[in-house]
Amino acid sequence: MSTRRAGPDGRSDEALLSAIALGDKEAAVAFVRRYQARVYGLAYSILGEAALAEDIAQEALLRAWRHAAVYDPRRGSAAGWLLTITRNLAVDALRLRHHLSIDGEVLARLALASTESPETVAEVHDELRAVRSALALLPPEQRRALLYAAFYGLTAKEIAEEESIPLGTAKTRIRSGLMKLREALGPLTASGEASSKEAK
Amino acid sequence: MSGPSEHGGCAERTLLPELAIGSLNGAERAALLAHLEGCQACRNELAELLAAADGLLLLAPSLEPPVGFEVGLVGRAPGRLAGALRPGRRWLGRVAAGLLLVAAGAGIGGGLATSPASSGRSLRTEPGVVRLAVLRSKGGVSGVAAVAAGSPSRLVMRVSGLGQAYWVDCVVTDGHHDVSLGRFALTGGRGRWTVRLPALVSPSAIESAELVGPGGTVLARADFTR
Repeated sequence: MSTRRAGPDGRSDEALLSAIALGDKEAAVAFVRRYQARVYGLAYSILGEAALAEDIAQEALLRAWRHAAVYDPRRGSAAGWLLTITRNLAVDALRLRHHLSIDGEVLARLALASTESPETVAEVHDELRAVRSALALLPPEQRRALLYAAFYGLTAKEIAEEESIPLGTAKTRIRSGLMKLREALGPLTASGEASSKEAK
Repeated sequence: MSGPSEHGGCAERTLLPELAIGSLNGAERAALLAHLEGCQACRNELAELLAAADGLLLLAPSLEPPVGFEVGLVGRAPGRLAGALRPGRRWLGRVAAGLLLVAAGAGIGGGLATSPASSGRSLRTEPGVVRLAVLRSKGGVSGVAAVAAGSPSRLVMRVSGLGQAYWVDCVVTDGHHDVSLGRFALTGGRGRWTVRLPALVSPSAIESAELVGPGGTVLARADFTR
């Protein structure tokens, strides 16, 4: 995720996080209002439950506040960092239920490029459009495997069980799918030093 | 696992996509992370794959969180940042409480009619609320909508009985503009939210508020001209 956003006040995400780390309340407010809908939307998409999604979204934003000082822009965009925190918290909450509840309708909506919304038409940035287009080019089974892993945190073994396929097939779908996605996104996926990503 | 090597010869390379998207199990993950310590080429490839994997998270829709989201956040905020979100938001809770009373009175969403007896004022007497309309769908009454004038002005929406939708776009019309106010989540066909009105929309000029489903169908409409 290579987006470098700047809000109406002209401050980029990275500038806001730096200011939050110094205790700037206005920066904290601006950051929350810039991202609360996206964070809540991701949590709700994964959890399908408003109260729990609200709790997870609040916790994700709080973690961003608390850890603003250690955010490293060389490792990826602030949006990617925040959404990954959100996803991991939501997946942890899902796993605490002791069973995964995957909403097929949600998965389908995420997967189908044809579900362009007014929001995406009006204010989509190039990256989202590119991801949708790239995903649409993948075979459906590879698309599903990527969405299972990205949104529900499923391991290859769990995807194999979910799809009733051999483990090797699940691994191949993930590998082929993500490599094709990377190729399709090309320069949008700006490379940088990232030996590991703690949040993953 | 092999040691440091030229990228093309790394057996571990095939596992990088699984690591990037978070689907690698513990043992394989640990071994691959150890390999990455000594392989710059694999680290570079992983960075590209991570960017692609992170991009998938953008597919989730933006949804406005429920009323009180920011207030709840303040309650959990670190000390030096606590209070940052408080100014100007308190009245929202009062408006929402009043709206619940109206909804309860109209027989809508009875399960949420938990307002205390001491707050027995109707929404019409709440600060800022200037206009009210029933939200109607094919199935009949599906909630209420209120316009609250102020700085900024707001639309408050309470929805129930739209079980066919997972989320809706909220659009207001003032006779000149159709303005989308955002996308909002529904749980079991229910939802409630408060959203700021853009400056170009006058609270007194709003003619209707519509909830539009994912397929572009108008699922419910509140007519403020009646």
